[in-house]
Amino acid sequence: MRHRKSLWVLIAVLWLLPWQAQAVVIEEVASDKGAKAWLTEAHALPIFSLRLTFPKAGSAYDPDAKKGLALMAARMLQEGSGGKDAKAFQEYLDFHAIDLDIAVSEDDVTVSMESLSEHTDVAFSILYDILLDAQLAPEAFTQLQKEAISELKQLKQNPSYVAGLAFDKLVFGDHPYGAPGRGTKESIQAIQLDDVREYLTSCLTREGMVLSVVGDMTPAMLAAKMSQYLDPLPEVRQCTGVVVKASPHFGSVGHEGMDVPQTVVKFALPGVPRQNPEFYTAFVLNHMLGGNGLSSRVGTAIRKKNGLAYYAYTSLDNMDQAALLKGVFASRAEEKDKAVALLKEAIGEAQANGFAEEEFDDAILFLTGSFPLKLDANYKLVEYLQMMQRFDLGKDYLEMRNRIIESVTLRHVNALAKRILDPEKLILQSVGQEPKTAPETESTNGRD
Amino acid sequence: MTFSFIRPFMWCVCLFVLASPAWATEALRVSESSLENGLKIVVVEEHRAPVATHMLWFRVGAADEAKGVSGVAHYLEHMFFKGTSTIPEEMYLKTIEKRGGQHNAFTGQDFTAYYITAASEHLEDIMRIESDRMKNLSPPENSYLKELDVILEERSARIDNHPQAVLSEKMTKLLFNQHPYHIPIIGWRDEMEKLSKDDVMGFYRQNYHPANGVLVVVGDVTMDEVRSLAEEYYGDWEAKTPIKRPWIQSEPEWQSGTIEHHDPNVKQANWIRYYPTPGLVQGDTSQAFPLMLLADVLGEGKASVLYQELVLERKLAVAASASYSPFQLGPSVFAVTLVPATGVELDALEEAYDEVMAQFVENPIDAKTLERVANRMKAATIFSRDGIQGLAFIFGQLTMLGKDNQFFEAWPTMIGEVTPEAIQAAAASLLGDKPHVTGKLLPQKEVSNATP
Repeated sequence: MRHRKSLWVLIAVLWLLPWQAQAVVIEEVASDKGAKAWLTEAHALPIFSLRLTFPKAGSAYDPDAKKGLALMAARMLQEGSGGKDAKAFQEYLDFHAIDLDIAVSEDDVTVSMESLSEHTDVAFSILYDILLDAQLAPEAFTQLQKEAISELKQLKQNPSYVAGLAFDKLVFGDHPYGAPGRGTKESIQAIQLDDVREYLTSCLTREGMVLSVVGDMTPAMLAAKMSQYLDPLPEVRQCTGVVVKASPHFGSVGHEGMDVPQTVVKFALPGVPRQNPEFYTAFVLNHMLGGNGLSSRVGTAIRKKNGLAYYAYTSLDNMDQAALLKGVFASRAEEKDKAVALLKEAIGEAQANGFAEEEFDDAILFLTGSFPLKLDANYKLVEYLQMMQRFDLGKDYLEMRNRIIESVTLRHVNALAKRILDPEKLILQSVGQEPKTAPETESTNGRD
Repeated sequence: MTFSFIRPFMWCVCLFVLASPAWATEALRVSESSLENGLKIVVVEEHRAPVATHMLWFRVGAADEAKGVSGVAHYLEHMFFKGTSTIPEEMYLKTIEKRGGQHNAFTGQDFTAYYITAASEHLEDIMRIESDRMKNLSPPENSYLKELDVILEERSARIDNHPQAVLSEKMTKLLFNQHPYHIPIIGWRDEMEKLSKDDVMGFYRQNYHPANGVLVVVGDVTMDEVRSLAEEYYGDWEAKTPIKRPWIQSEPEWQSGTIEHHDPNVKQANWIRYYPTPGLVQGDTSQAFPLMLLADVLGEGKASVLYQELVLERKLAVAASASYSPFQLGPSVFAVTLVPATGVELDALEEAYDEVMAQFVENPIDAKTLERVANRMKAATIFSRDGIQGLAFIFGQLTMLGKDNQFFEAWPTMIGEVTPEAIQAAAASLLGDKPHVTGKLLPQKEVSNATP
């Protein structure tokens, strides 16, 4: 073990119980100007994973008439910077084998990097270049607009994508979460390069920035790089977009016609906010309802028992201003109504009678027992560090996490089920053919 | 839920240790063994976390299906989750769930694989349930038809709901002609609908036995542990004669042509080209590494030749990409996809593409281009060691292709040995009067002639 000098070191509680995660050491690092980062050192491989998130900078903050701005800006960051044009920049990344990705969600923008540790300085200098010295060339911008519009056309061919758009609109209406994050042809065309410039300087700032690194790096190195390359970011966030708490339109139903053989159905029920202590109850509930693949209530009803879908599952979706329990499945057009009925039945049953003791015990065993699988790689661990910082879960979360799950009781779960698993509140959005009126057209192959 | 098959293309840029003196990274500890009944065992040690992946690979895939029963290999893969007389479906799933295990399976053209990842302390339990279903598969009578419905929905989800996937299927069928690769892994819908229990179980009995299998275990384990457990749980697996795979090394009678696929849902036209090529096993395998680098140089990212020439220079396209995977027992395909700019006809785009390719084979690739492309591919080897599941896939796939750890270790060197001339020669070998299939994805709906 190398001796390391660090600014603050917190040693995690060592593994006492077999199901506990192996001790993961998280060190808090600070730059000269006080920007914080979390680091977990792992020196077996000469690589590191980096995640840099700018909160409240996502697509929901796009101006109404310019939806798609955050995504366009994120792309423009990769179209030349630090004195290099787009081609030279890409070559520079390739040459150093640095993997750079910028993801835009409704709420945030996250820069992800995977790099060899021998190129640590190059990697961080690239962060500086893209965030503070982007070329923002007009021809590149015009080109990106064309590419984005073409992409939209291509995405519209996909019933799953179409279902996602329609679903967001149905759930959130005029709230920013209801608008397409990629924008529309019209909104993309309305975006100006000046809008991008404005966005970058006012929304991608040091204020609230979250940084995590896992891999072959020391705290001293990380602090030095942050001071040199990230401290120059604007200090104060001046993003003008406002996103208030959303009021999802529970109980709404929508259908959009599309001539495809298989209908995609997206659905939602009320969720629990991430920072609410009841979140973990919802987490266990979701696993049993539809997170557990074939063994879940939804998976069993739609796929396992009735063969009506290839995929059918639920998940928790926690945005800053909305919390949902979402789900999706896809069935052939003629069976869609039947599948929806089964879904409602499964939800209603879970609401009325709750979940069973054994089912619950198994869920806890799974959720705790599978935890080590989420921590065996840099790129997985860095996501956890990032989440822990974003939601203020504390540095000891990884050690506490299984205990927290274990503290959830069946009684809690069933009480929550009564509140949120309400078929009346179910939001349903389908995309596909209108179901045929003729029943049971499959008897041609002799099946009953 | 089970996702059932993956295209080999996805594993193109994985792999391999770079034993560079600049890095102190230890070489992977890989050991091989086998049981008396022929089951091969490969163990890759990775002690970072107390987890292990138990993965069974079988030398059988969609390409081994008899005529008329396309999809049976994949259907069987699904049925493997339906239980045995001692461990029915529910119990099997519960056993994994209680141990926090994650599991899945997939079917390829050349092989089929089943894996469970869990805390390494559960390896014995995992092996117990896996060996049981491999030896004693016995799905209940009423589970066949339901699962048939599921795989039909899977076909819809993967293919029939997506016009580009339908086109791709047509192109593959045309190109490969009578070679088994011409058939989709999921199967043709009309043949799938007729698959019976006898088809499925016949395929199982014929193909699932130890000489056809490789057990790959990656993680916080040792060969001694694994072998000892394997002897206990797989030792009594009845040995059978290895199956014959007559299609291997058979050279397809390639068919060329152009296919137009119209679908009212298509809003953005695409132009696609498939060129048949060797892979790592069949034909002129010396082409494999040059072709991999060629795909990168031509069509990976915005610095690539096709993007620079067709998108930026000539403004005829808005997107351009190329892909190639060498990981096939049989021939492989070098694919190019172009998305035309607004108002550009596909014929004009194709003409420009031909010009760009003709220029490409005439002009040497500069050393810098080669270096950056090679750097990325070499580095991928280090990144692939981050986490155990990727290693299980890599080593299983290599073993299926008759490669071993030596090949693995030599990977970066082999990349480094590719010269600019070799890449140009690889490009030249695709062009001219060589077979190829062109696909055009188009928005307007027309009454098509005979469906292929």
